[in-house]
This record gives sequence, C-alpha cells and structure tokens, in this order.
Amino acid sequence: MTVRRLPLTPLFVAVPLATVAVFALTSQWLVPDAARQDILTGVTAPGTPGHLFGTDQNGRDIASLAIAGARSALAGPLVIAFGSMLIGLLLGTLAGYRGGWVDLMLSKYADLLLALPTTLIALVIAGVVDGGYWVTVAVLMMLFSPTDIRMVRGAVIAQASRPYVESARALGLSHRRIMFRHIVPNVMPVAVTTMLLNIAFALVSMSALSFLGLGVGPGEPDWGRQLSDARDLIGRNWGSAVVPGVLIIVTASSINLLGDWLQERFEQRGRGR
Amino acid sequence: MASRFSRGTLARFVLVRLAATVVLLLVLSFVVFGLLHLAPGDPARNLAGPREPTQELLDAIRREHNLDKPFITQYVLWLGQVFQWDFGESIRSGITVTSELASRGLLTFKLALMAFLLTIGVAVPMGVRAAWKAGSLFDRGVSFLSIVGVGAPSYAIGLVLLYLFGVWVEIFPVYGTGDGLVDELWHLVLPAITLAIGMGALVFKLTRTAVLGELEQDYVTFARSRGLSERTVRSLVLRNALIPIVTSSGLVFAFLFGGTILVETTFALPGIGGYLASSVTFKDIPVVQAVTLLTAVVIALTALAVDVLTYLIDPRVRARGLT
Amino acid sequence: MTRHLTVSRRTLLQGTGATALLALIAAACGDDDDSTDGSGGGSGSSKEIDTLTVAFPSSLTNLYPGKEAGNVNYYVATLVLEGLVAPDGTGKLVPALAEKWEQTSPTTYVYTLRKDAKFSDGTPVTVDDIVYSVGLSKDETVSPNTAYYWANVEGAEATGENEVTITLSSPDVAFEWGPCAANAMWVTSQKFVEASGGDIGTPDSLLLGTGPYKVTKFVPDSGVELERVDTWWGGKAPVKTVKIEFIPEESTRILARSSGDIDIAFSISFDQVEQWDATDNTDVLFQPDRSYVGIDFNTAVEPFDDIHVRRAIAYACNRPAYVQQLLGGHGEVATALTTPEQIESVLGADGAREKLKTVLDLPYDLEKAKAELAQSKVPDGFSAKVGVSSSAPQVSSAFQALAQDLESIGISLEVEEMPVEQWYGTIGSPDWGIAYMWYFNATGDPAELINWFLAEGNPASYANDDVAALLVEAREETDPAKRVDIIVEAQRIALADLPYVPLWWGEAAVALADKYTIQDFGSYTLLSPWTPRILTKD
Repeated sequence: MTVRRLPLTPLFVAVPLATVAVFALTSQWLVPDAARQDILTGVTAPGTPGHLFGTDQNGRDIASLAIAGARSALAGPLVIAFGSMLIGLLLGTLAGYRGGWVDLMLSKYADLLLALPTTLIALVIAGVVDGGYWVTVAVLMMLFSPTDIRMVRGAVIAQASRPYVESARALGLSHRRIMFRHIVPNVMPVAVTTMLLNIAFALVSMSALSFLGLGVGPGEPDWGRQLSDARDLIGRNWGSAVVPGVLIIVTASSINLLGDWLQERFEQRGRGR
Repeated sequence: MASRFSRGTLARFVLVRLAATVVLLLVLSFVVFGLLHLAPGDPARNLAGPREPTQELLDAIRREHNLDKPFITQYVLWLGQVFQWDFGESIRSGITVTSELASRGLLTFKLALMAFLLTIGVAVPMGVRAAWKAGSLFDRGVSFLSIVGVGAPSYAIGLVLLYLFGVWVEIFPVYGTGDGLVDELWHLVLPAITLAIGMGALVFKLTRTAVLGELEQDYVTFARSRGLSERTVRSLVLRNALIPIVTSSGLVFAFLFGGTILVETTFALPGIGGYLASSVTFKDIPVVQAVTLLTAVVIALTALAVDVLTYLIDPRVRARGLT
Repeated sequence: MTRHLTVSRRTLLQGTGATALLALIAAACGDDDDSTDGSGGGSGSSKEIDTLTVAFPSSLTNLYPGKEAGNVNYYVATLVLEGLVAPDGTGKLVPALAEKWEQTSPTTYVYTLRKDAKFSDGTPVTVDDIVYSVGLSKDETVSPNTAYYWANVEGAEATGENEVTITLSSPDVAFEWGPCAANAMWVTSQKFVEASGGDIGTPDSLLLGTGPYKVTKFVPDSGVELERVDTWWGGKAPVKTVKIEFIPEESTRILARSSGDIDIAFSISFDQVEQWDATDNTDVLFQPDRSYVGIDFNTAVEPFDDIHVRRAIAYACNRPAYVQQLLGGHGEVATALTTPEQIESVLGADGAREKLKTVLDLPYDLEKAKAELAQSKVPDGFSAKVGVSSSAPQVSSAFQALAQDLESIGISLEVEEMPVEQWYGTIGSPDWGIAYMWYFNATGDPAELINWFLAEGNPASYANDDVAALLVEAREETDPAKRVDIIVEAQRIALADLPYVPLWWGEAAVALADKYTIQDFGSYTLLSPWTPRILTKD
C-alpha cells in the first residue's frame, strides 16, 4: 500500500471523510439557506465579501451549496456501490462456482445489462416513474452491477480450484457454505477495492444523468451538478469548479485509500488463517 | 488432475457461446425496442420540430417509418429486415444506418483499441512492478497517481492534454479525425491517452492487488522455502495473477468501446457514443437498435475471447472444464 | 418557420464535470486583452482567402433544411442552395434566382427566372426545376420542417420559358418570404435528386444547388467541406474553401481558436464570452438574432386558465435582471412577440422599439403578484413544473430565479431539465400548464411568430375573435406601415390577456480571427451567401 507502513492511514483519511459526513448530517442547520439565490448579485469571484468562494449565475453561495451538497454526494454513490457489489457478490459467486447453465445465464444477464444504453434506460425510467434522486440511484445500481458480477465471477473461478475449496468439498460441506463462507472472504479484497472505486464513478455518473431529467434538479445542492454548471462559469469564478472538483477528488481519493487500507486488513487476516 | 488440452472441448464451448450470443442479441433487440416504445416522446413529432405539427404531417411521417403499426408488427418488420442485413434508415437524417455505423463504429473501435493497448501496455507492467516492490518509492508514487487518476474525470484530463500538447506545445491536433489512416491515428493519440488514463489507473490497481494476493499464497512461501529461484517464483505468481487481469482486461475493452462519448465530445470525433446518445433522445429507433446490437456484439465477443484465453492460460480452469 | 438549436452532445455530458485544472487553463489562456467586444464590422478588403475554417457547436444530420431546420443547417445551406428571393442586410427581400417578381393578384405571384442561373455541375436551371423544388419543400415526408409553410399554396406551375407562377388558396402577404433559402425553399435539380434515389442532403447524396459553393464532403458530427464554384450568377466568392467543423465542447473550441485551427466560431456560449475575449487574436461580435424567449401558459389547463394566476406569475418575472445578469446584457427585455429587427425596415431601430413598447408594459412587482394571486381561484398558491431544455442554460437560470420569487408568494414551481426533444413535447401540452418558447424568427416578416402564437392551434389554446380578425387583415394588407400597425395591435389585444409573457429578445455572438472582419454584420447577414462578406483587415 501507498502508506502501508503508516498506521496513520485510517486517521489520515478519516479527517476529510468525517468532515464530509458531518456536513451531510448537519447541513440543514449549518447552511439552511444554501440554495438561496440572489440574481442581482449573479456570478462573483472568490473573495467577494460574504462569499468566500464566490457565487454562481443565480447568485448562490458556492461554499454553502457545496456543504449542503455533501449529503447527495455521499448517500447515492454509497448505496450504488454497495448495492451493486452485493448483487455482484451474490450472482458472480454463483456463476463462478456453479458454472454450467447458471454461469451461462448469469453471464448473459450481465452482458445484456452491459449492452443496454444508459441514456435509454435513464430516459425510459424518467418517463415512466417521473425521475427523482433515488430512482437514479436504483438505475445506476443496476447498471453498475454487471461489471461487479463479471469481476467477482473471474475471481471466484480462480479460487474455485484452489486446494482449500477442494478440501472443503471433500469434507462434504454444502455448496452454499463453501461459496459464502470460504470463497467469498477470499474474493473480498478485489470486491472491496472495486466497490470503493465505484463510489467515485457513481458520483460522476449521477451528475451526468441529472441532465436527462434524472437525479437532482437544477439549483439543488449536489457536487456533480455544481461541477457541471461550473463549466460555463469558470472564466468568471474559478471557485465554482475548484470547490466541488477538489471535494470530489479528495473524497474519492480518501475512500480509495480507505479501501486500500481495508484490503490490507483482509490480507493480514488471510495470512493469519 | 490436469486434463489434456482438448481442441474439441474448446470448439464446442465456442459454438455454444456464439449461439448464446445470438439469443442474447435477440432478447436485447426486443428489450431495447420495448424500452424505446415506452420512452417519452414521439419521433414523428421530433422530426417536425418544436412547432405543433398537423395530424396529416404526423400521419405521413409515421406511415413512412412504419410507426403507425402496432408494436409487435413494427418489431417483426424490423427483425425481418435485419435478417436480410438491412438495418433501415435513420428517421432523423434519412441516412442508411449500416453506412453510417460502419464509419463510426470503425473509428470508435480504433480509438478503443489504441486506448486498450496503452492501458494494458503501461498499467499491467507497472502494477506488477509495484506489487513486487510493495512499499517502495515507485509503488507509493504510482499508487498515489492512480488514486488521483481514478478520481479525475476524463473530460478534464482531455482538456488539460489538449492545452498542453495541442496549444502550448503544438504536437498533436486539437480536434477532429484528419485525412487518411496515418493522420487519423495521429488525431486519435490524445483521445486515446485521455481514455487510457482513467482506465489505466483502474487496471494498475487491479493488477497490483492480484499480484499481491498471489504473493501471499501458501505456494509462494512453499516454493521459496524449497529454494526455487526468484525467477521461477515470479513466473508462477504472474501466471496465476494473470487470470483476474485477463478477466478484467476484457471488461476494460468493452468499457472503452462503450464509453467513448466523453472524449468524442471533447475532441469532436464522429464515433458511436454521441450517435447513440442523440439518437436515444430523438427516439431514432433504427439507429438505437443498430448501435446497441453492435456494442453488444463487441462486448460478447470480447467476453468470449477472455474466457478462451482464461482457458488457455489456466490449467485449473481447463481441468474444471468449460461451460 | 421555427428554428431550434440542434441538441449538442455536450449538453448530455455536462454532468461529467470539470476540475480545478480547468481553472488553470482558463488562467493560462487569458493573457491577452487586445480583443474588441462589440457589434458591427470594421473595414477591410475583399482579398482572396484560401481556406476559411468555421466551427459550430452542434452538428447537423442532414444538409437539406427541409429535413432538419437547425441554425447550422441554414448557415450551411445558404452557401450552396438558393431560393427565388433572398433577404438583404436590412431584412428586405431582393432577387436571388428570380431576377424579378410581382404579385399580379392577392393570391398570385409571378417569378421571372434569371437567364444565367446554373447548377454547380454546369447544367442550366429550368422552370421545371423550380416547380420540382417547390414540390420538395411542400412534401411532408421529404420536408417535414417546411411543408406547413406551403400548406396555403395551391401550386406552382411553369407559365413561360423563364416564368413560374405560384398560386395561393387565400391571400397572405407573408408568403413573399416562402420561396427564400433563408426560410422554406431550396432550388435543386430534379435529375440530381432522382439520380440519388430520392435522397437529398445525406453524406452520399450531398446537395446540388446554384449558390457560390458546392459540398465536397459531409461527415455527420465531424464536418462539411465546401468548394467554390464558378457557376454562380453572383460571381466568384473570395473564399476558396470553407471548412465547417462541428466542435460540441466549447472549451475545445476555444483551444482550437487559440491554436489557430479555426477562424470563426458561430453561436458561442454567452457564459464563456470572457474566455473567448481573452483568446489571442480573436474578436467577439454580438448581433440581435431575431430570437424571442418567453413563457407560454396553456390557458386550457388549471389554474392557468385564471388570468389572475397568469398575472401573478408575470409580475414575478424580473426581466431586466434576467437580461442583465443571465445574458450579460446581450439581449433586450421583450415587450412583444415580434422582434424589433422585423419591423426595423419600416420604422427604424428606435421607432421599432418605441412601437413594440406599446404592446406590453410589465413591471417586476412582487406585491402586485401577491395581490393578483389573492384574487385568483387559488389564493393559497399551488404547485407546477416547467420543463427546460438542457441546451438552454440561461432559460433554466431564469426559471430558477422566477421559482424563488414565486415561492415567496406561495407558488411552488419546479424546474425540470430535459433533452431538447422532450422539451418540444411540453409546448402546448395539457400536462404542462406553463412552458416556454425559444423561437428563432427565420424571416423578416413581422407576423411570423403571431401567425402561430395567436392563430388557431396555438400552444396557449388562446382564442379571441378581434385578434383573429386582425390576423386576417394582416395577411391581406400590402402597405408595410399599415401592416405593422395591425400586427402590433393584435399583440396588444392578445397580450393584455397574458397567454404569453415575453421575457427577452436574444443576441448571437460570433468569435472570429482578428485579421478578418464581417462587412455590415447584422441580423440577416448569415441568411444569404455570407462568405463574400468576410473581409481581410488592412
């Protein structure tokens, strides 16, 4: 690991992550007026009195909006990454361990999902159930799952012929027990790494979909949304892009570091076995 | 317990998979057709522009594109044409879908392939080296870069590269495809690097994780304690670590092929990503169907290639047999 | 004729975000301040230019504007295809392929064809080609975007070796703008279209026209190449090759200008004007583009059937702030449906604005808004949603600002962003009581928009007998000044009922290499062959 010999890693990542979590939990008291506009102020540069990082085209304070955006930045991506990995572990393990028809069907299911155009699904769902943040989360969870299924499946296939699996079989353990008590723990390192990577991807994907009428609406606090709105504002207020951009990168990197650290724990446990 | 490599088994496996792929394509085409039907909007209305069209105009457009027929009839008509290798015409532009898709698909394929070679060629060796020298300065440095690389959106990377190599040091062209094959490949270098950076960071991490995982297996300790040379140990480890890497590399290509839309936009390239997105919002049914099928074929063939490769490199999988 | 900005791929992708690094780029690029920000064109000379590279933010899928009628389609088509007439710089119609024309009865127009008109393949233009081309524009499946314009046309026939007569079913002065390449007619050859199997404007069939250029290459989402021809009756254009590139990402377009790869960028993003301005050797020019942006209410949908509700919303529109803040002042508060540029040829610039001010004077006044809502049948407020195309960020911002003001009086308005095609579906739909229109007037005819917005089948479901009578009068009145009076009066009556709330009249911005200038750059410049107006500065 990058910082594998630093016991400080969890502490080091904990600071930004805890800050973001605190923002997410307390934003309604911390910045109750985050979405408040003042169109006469319009775009202002960082350092404008009262606006540390300036304002956007509708005069909303960039810093307040970013603090309020922590909630949607954390909740959705976490649920997406966790949910899709759960699907991945369940179906991927089944496919990789069982093989045969089960594998074929599950692989084809994953292929089908992979091949479906995201925009199409998003538009259909938006049309049928009228959009909304959590609908987007559900759609993305479904769309993220095929990669996780394939990833887990590959890892399980590699594990399935290992001696410990052979011996478990010889001992007559049930398939379910072998799969979820013996193989899955060994797949966890890859799974956790992938899952934490997915959080960052989900963060970016969510904001892309808001433009199709899914996800958060215009002006609502959301980092991805702020970042994409900032593309046009950057010449007049660099803060509009830097604040959400840095927040996304720092949060994503912290989660990745946390993933690495966790993975290392797993490995040590593995060694201890 | 290793069984002999069997040509027959492999051939049968490939055939079954190809048949399954055909079934998949059928299901997919039906699902997409259905989804398009459910999606809000009306292609006839879109074609007529924002002005409220007359009923006669709508009827004329619908007749022209069979949109006036019941859903199932539309699908069967479409399917019948496809079996004669006729993917119809774009509702929006009137261009034959196959001719448009051939040029766009090829461009996206070249771009994805270039990005894939860059990703694998750089990220895998670096991942192996980083795992081998875990904790070294090299490992820490590259690991850190990969963490940032995963978080940085390709859109931003593309613009930074454009500024650096297109405007500041004028080595690469800023946008477009150029004329002729060599010029085209030259135009694709920056977009391919842009695509490869995000993916490379991912592949690096996966490679490193896989190799580290192998290094901690009992057989490595065993082999080392038996006094096998470091070279032999390495090749053993690599061979075993290769499986998750190969599995993921298939996904990497599928992802690159299906995920070019961002760089297409940044570098103004006429590929399939933007084509699909704009056709979906327009409800241009023949185009969406054809692009989806093309993407599915590429993904399915890549997955098949990966499984065959896994079979060939992993004796344990061979032993277990293929499905 | 409605024009829309074709959806750009970029709008689908904006969510993927920029980072801090972009700020660095912006800073690194912005080291130059020798550019001028202003409208109009300077002086220059008509030197031969070998290649002019022009970049648009959105692509086109078909070169024939009957098939797809975005702005880009028109800008490209007017270099290749011609109509019988064309607008001059002030919006007056002048001869194009017809050397003269006359209205011999209220429903009959006789056009005399130029003798020296040739297609770019050298074949002469015949009256049969003209009749055939009218048929193409009138055909609903070939030209879904222009067919309705010809609905009132009974037919076109050759009435002499060089004479074509077009007959209308009922009188309509606005018809004069019909056979114009800026609007609804493009002369092509029958032989050519039949030889390409009926296809027109596709990458394989391309176009055959009589204009100063021919198309040599067309790759959708990539670009179009035009080569000068020597068959144009107007002489030889000074630009030999025009390369049109589609660059959806605005930042890439700015970088392409920095590196000198492109000479002109049309329809630049207002939000990035400062970055364009800061680009080396680049001038930014603004021009009114005869566009109208305004709210449409569907008066058949509750609670928007209540005039007090409509008034409450109208008073809550801070229109001067939208123009000043969201458009950076590059636009005007709209007081009518007709844009000033469409009556300037009659009343002059100031006179036009004075006249249109009489239509609707609407202050921003939340107190009045509150009072109106209290009188309505929903005194406690209500909630509604409005769909905004993701390619119209300024409109979205304006509605967000409006939503905040409405919230303070008890109305909750949700702004929903959607792809441009879905936005079409909100116009006049019973599901959307409040919608908006962003309309680009194609012609210089002052009745263009009201012939849709106040006529039968309008998106507001608005009906008023006095207005209907005035519309008929306007169709028959041949004296321009009297006609303007009628058209303005119709709007004055109708807008008192507020089926529409005009928000602003827009401008378009063009960035060009500062070695060039555009001669007499105005609202109509791009609607007739425009490359001869690109001059090299001395």
